[in-house]
Amino acid sequence: MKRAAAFLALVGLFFAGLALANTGTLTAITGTAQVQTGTTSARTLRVGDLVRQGDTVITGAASSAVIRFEDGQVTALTANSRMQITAYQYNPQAQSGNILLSLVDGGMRAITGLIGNRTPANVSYRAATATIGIRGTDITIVTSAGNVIVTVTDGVISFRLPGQTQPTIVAKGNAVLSNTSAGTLSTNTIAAIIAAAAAANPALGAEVQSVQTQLTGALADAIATAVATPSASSTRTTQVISVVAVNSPSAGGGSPEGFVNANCSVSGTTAVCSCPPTDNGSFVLSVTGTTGTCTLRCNTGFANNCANVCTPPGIC
Amino acid sequence: MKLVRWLVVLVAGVIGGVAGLHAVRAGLSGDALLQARINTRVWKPGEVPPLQAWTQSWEALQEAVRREPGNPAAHESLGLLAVRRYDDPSRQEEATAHYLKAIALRPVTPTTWANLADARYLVGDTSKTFQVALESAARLGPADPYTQRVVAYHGLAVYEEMGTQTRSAIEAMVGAGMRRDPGEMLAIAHRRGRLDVACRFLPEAKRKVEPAWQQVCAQAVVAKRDASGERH
Repeated sequence: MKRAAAFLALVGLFFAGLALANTGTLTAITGTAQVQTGTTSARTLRVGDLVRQGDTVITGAASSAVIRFEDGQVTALTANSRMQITAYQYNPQAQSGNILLSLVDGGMRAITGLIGNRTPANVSYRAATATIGIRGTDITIVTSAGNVIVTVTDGVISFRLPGQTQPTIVAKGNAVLSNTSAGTLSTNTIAAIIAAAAAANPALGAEVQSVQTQLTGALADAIATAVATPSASSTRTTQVISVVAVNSPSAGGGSPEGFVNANCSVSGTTAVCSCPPTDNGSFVLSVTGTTGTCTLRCNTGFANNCANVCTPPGIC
Repeated sequence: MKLVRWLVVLVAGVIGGVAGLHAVRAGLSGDALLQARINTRVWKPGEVPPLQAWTQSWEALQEAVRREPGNPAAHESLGLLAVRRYDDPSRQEEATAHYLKAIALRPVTPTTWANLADARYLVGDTSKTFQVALESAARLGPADPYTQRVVAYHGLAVYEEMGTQTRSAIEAMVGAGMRRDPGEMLAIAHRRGRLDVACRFLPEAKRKVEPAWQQVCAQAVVAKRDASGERH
């Protein structure tokens, strides 16, 4: 009897593993993606697979992969990229943790989750020899042969090269271009940096353009879905705890499509939200389901005109 | 007559002694298994366990196997423990060997076959051993929830890559899981991006399905049809 009980307890650990602790889940893959643990041979990654601290995720040619970590951090890799999960620890009860993702080659877009929102100092990215700190951000990093370009779509980053006493701060709408081997860096608007990269190194410029292109279209949809998915810890609650507003272009004009967090107050089964940057009006969602996330598509030209896309559908 | 009586006593004594020895060893083996269970119960699911605690459990189970080498549960427990070392692929390879020993001792337990499939998947092997493990698990444990989950979870990941026989096994388990707990099975299928497979069994669900899932299923089926170019 004791033997059976001991055995069953261990058997139960299998499915408990799917409860996701200190892991990221592959939510979308196009083409081929692999994972390498330590120095072993890389193995095929499939949608729904888990990756952990110490794993290196690799995408093939004409491929991409989107990873959603347990705290809600979303990272998308473009083609021919290699990223190591150098550190990922998350404590859902304390809502704290630390993240260090190292982009070895290629391009990635990173959108911070709860850890980055609560404790930005605990989230860093590495590319070549540069260390990138964040303050609640949505950024894209491209690295190739020691060159690093970081574009900041939202938030602020700090960019530091080895030996640099003070980091370089780069705000939303701007970018940094660095030759980490030579120890040089420059900052400017995103468009100016991309142009400068192309002028200095056509291959690098092409790579950056390629990454930017890949991050639109189907991959952008996959990223948006991953961002909107409730994290494992949130599914244990009985109310909506995350609402993401998407500013959609409209006939009346509106900001380019991006992903911003709505300003919401959630009480019980009702979320009252407004969509920045205009905060025109407010939107009330009555949540009928038990868990989920609602994405508000806010037409900034017309207040109180929003359509809800909810996962699972029908809860709002 | 006296000689026969002594012989009977002697044989009975030997049998009793051997049985007693087995009982003691089984008891000690059970204690080792229990100790391993105590050690593991504080580990967070999905997390790589602390090495020291893992090693203690490992040694306890090794002791259980030494005392009772014919105990399939001890071998299988070693496999389950080995698989937890997500940071050490060599340990995960080792899990396969332990599961195979357990299967050799007790070939009709579906969960062992399911665990074998899990171990192979985790090291990136979805070839014959993995496929046979999935099919055997499905054949032996069609109504076992754990087996249904494992076969669905890994089977749906590789569904397109598998042959007809393995796909049938996967579908059978997904269908059985849908009849038992459609919400759980739909969540697994959703995670694997294979709602089209699970949703086929929605009409057979014996429990109430959230309207939201029904909507999602309707969309998934249409999307799959469109993707494969079928006509309505």
